Amino acid sequence: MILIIARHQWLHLRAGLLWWLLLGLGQLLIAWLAFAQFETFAEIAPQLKAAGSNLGATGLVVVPTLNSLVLFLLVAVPLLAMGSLASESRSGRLEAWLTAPVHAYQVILGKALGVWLASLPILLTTLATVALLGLGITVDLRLFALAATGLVVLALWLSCVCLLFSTMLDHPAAALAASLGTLVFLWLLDSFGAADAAWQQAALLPHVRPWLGGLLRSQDVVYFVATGMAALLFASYLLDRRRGML
Amino acid sequence: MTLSRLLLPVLLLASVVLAMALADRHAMQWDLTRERTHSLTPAAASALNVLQHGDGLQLTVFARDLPVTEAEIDHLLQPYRAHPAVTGYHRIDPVADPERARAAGVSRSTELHLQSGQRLEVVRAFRREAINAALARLALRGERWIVMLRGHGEAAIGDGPGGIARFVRHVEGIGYRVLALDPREIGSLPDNTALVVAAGPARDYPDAIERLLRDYRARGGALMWLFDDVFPAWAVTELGLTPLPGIVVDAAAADHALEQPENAIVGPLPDVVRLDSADGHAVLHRARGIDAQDGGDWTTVGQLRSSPRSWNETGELRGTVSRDPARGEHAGPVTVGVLLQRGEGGSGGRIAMIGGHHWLTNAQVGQAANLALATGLVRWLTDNRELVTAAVNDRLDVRWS
Repeated sequence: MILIIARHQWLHLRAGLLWWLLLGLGQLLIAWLAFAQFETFAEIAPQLKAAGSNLGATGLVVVPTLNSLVLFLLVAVPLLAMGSLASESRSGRLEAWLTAPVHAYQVILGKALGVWLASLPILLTTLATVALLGLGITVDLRLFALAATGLVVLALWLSCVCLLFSTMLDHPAAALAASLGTLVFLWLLDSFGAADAAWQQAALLPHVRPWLGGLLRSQDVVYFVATGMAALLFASYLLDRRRGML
Repeated sequence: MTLSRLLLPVLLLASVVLAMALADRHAMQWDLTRERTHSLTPAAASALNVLQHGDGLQLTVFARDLPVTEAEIDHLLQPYRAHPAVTGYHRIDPVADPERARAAGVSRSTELHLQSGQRLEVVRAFRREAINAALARLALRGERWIVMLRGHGEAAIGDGPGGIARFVRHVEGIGYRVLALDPREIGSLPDNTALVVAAGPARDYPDAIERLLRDYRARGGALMWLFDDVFPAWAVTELGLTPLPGIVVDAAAADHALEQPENAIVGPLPDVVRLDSADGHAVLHRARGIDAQDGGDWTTVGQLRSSPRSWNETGELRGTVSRDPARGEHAGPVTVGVLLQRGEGGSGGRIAMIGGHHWLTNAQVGQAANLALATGLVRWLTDNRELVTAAVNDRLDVRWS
């Protein structure tokens, strides 16, 4: 049932104009940024080499481009997820889901997977564009593989978090605003206050930056797994409450 | 009803916070970059561990505020900054803030200052090797002066084949300061002496110098004594050591492509002097054997021993040589070095008595693990054993042969 709901959600999103716009815009933006970085790198590479710099093309071209891709996902996934349940509620189709013989967690998981599936083509095509840079520069493939895997996980995590807001609010625009507000807050959180403050653990950027740079840390894995699962569980709980089961 | 509705969100939030706190406390990480840019070398990690339990480490970067420079510095310092020993990190643009740069004595456009307590190391070449060497120097405990005795036929700090300049340069590179002193010219050894080295004296020291060295030993000083033909009398009476006649020859030398038999193959090295970077053998050229008996209040903590196929040859080292027990030639393994200490943990002094000084000379120090053995001895004698040294370059070229 989860896969059926996921497929339905994915087909629904793919049929919309927004998905195609995001696909095209993502390609355009990342290709432009990647080749702009590449051009700058080509200009300064001889000086860096002469100065015996320890930097490389991966650090100066690939990683900054992947950073931009993270920012793009932070906007694209909430746009894809905003209507997952909020628009169902607004159009009255939510009643059908609530009376259907499926568990709330199946609906939530299926919707989250559907949003994730819709984000994957956008992500993978842009990653392929970045990978094409490997034709012109030496790319650390192990770092790139970890960063790409991390971005796939990040897309799933974003789907889960944004779905929570879509479940919580009845209007897609409200869900989008709440999702974007929360994600931007988490993105900027590490720039507020002392670096060793306890609440800095909740910041998104310190958990993204290491694996974009080739460092896999257990605390980052736990951060995404724990918060992603909590978002799904809470969304299921909210759906059950709408059914009057709680 | 309201309370029960709040229960799940509260429990969820608590679970997430708990999971993240646990993950932070028991963190693990894997560096997947090709050049392992997020990993510290064992030497740097070990030095930082020592500093963590001491005064900590403050890093101050003086560099122009330019994006590429910034990226380069971040890239280079990231693994160091992640270590808990680093208690502070500051970046100062010497152009934007010339007052602070001048106060810190900055002379280049890019400098890294590493400060631990009162000790300061300045790195001008932004390379990992330079930073690691500075960390090793900062982490060294106690006094850092090594006094090399001269004036009685000891090996000189020179670049010739019989000199020991290469060894000296190496120990200076890891943070020690080496001073060659003729004990006849001084009334006593400097108070901040961490180690005294007698590299193969050819003559007995006069009584005044013997007294000076006795006082130094009585103060708990550390001594590395490499003897050839002249064996110190105090080592017989105080340490229970007697030199064996002749030169140690070792048939195992042929297994290591050494044509001359007067090369003692010593290995495995004692734990107290073995470095992580060296698990091989040392080659002691023209080594002397030692008969080690009970050393009174001195405890033997390790011995350097040649292979079982060795003996102390008292005859000519020409043609076919064979062992003759009647001439006092002992069957191998022959002890060619004894490491002794007095008091708990060596607090009453440490002595390394090694038969022969040739292995330390420029011509021989590049052989096998000789330099690692020398470094390990210096580390142990100066009580910096837990500090791993930077890996000894196994491609070390020997200019003299």
